[in-house]
Amino acid sequence: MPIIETLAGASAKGYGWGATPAAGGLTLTQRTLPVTYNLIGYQKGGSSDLWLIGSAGSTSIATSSDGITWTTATASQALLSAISAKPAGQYVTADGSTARYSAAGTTWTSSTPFWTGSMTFLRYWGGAVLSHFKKLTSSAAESSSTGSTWTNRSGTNYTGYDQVNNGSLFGFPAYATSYFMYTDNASWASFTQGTLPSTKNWLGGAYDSTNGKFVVFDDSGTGAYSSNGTSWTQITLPTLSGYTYASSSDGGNGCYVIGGSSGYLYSTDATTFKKITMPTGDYYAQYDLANTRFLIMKSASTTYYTGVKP
Amino acid sequence: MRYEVNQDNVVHMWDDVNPEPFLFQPHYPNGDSFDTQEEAETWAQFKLEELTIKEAPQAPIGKGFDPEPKPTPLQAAELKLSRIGLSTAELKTLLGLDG
Repeated sequence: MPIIETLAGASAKGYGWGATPAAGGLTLTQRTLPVTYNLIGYQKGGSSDLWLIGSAGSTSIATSSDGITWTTATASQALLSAISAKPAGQYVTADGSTARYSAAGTTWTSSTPFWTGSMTFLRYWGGAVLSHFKKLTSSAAESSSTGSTWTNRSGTNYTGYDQVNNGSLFGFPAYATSYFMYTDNASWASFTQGTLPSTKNWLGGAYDSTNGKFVVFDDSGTGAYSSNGTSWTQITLPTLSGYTYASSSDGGNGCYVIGGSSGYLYSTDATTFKKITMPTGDYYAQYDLANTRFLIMKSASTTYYTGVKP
Repeated sequence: MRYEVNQDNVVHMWDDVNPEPFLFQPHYPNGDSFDTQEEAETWAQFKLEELTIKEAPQAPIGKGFDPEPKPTPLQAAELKLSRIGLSTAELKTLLGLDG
């Protein structure tokens, strides 16, 4: 099996392309997709619990049960700018004005979002699919359990980027210290407002149940972790070249992965992150929900990488 | 990169590094069946060229379909713009290039 890079365990003895894996180290394997990946998001889910990837604006998709061997298919309608999935449920794809849902990824049905505007977020969150749209002058949110009908959630104080974790959802106002944490995905009736250590453009976060820690990060190398979602410790993250776009992955398996420009960061304890430099490109990391494998996709490419928990 | 077509007309394709096939294709992408081994091989050859030759078209999506050209660099750039909710015209306006 081709080892493309390895990062030695906690001591981070060294890493690089083609290095020999060390015991406990993180090993990535470079692989090939049969279609060009170009979506912001990609997910494992749907009625058959398959990975589904594709390109926004295209009907060419590929599905896989293991994230390694793929079968190409033609979707009845083109995928939109983002995709999310509910395990044993639906795939949902959406942009600022349109939403579509599908059980298997091939036959898609259009639905009408409650809000229109520039979309910043589409993510599955423990029982409901949440879609967060952000306009230039105002913002609003909506949710749907299947992708077929959407409910206005504009009263939830969302004003910026947000991110899902296993049991809670964070809303981040742009360039602020405040955040909102929701734990009730059914009614959205209550939220906790908290304060992060500094004013940053907080971009996303993750929660890992093995470590019992939340991690949040901004777009320029600042992070913070918390054991309770209330008290935070600020940390400095290794800077990714560009670091303009990042996504986090939560597995409950003791590992955090943050994709970015020209590489990604990973941590096994939420307090210390290591940077892995990759060939030029934007990278998006995603665990499958069974926590068996994570995929790191390179935008606009048929090259991707798989890895498992160190 | 290489492919094989088995006795059930299933296409498997491998890259040059991994032992596992990255493609398992028992039918055309649109679900039409590969009725003969020759039909499956023809599709596999198109797919191989799609993935290895920059200018090659995309493999046919179904029986009787012609290969379609890949998206142009301009179309790919417009796709990136659409992710942040901007059209080409809106970007031109923002950059003062619409006059």
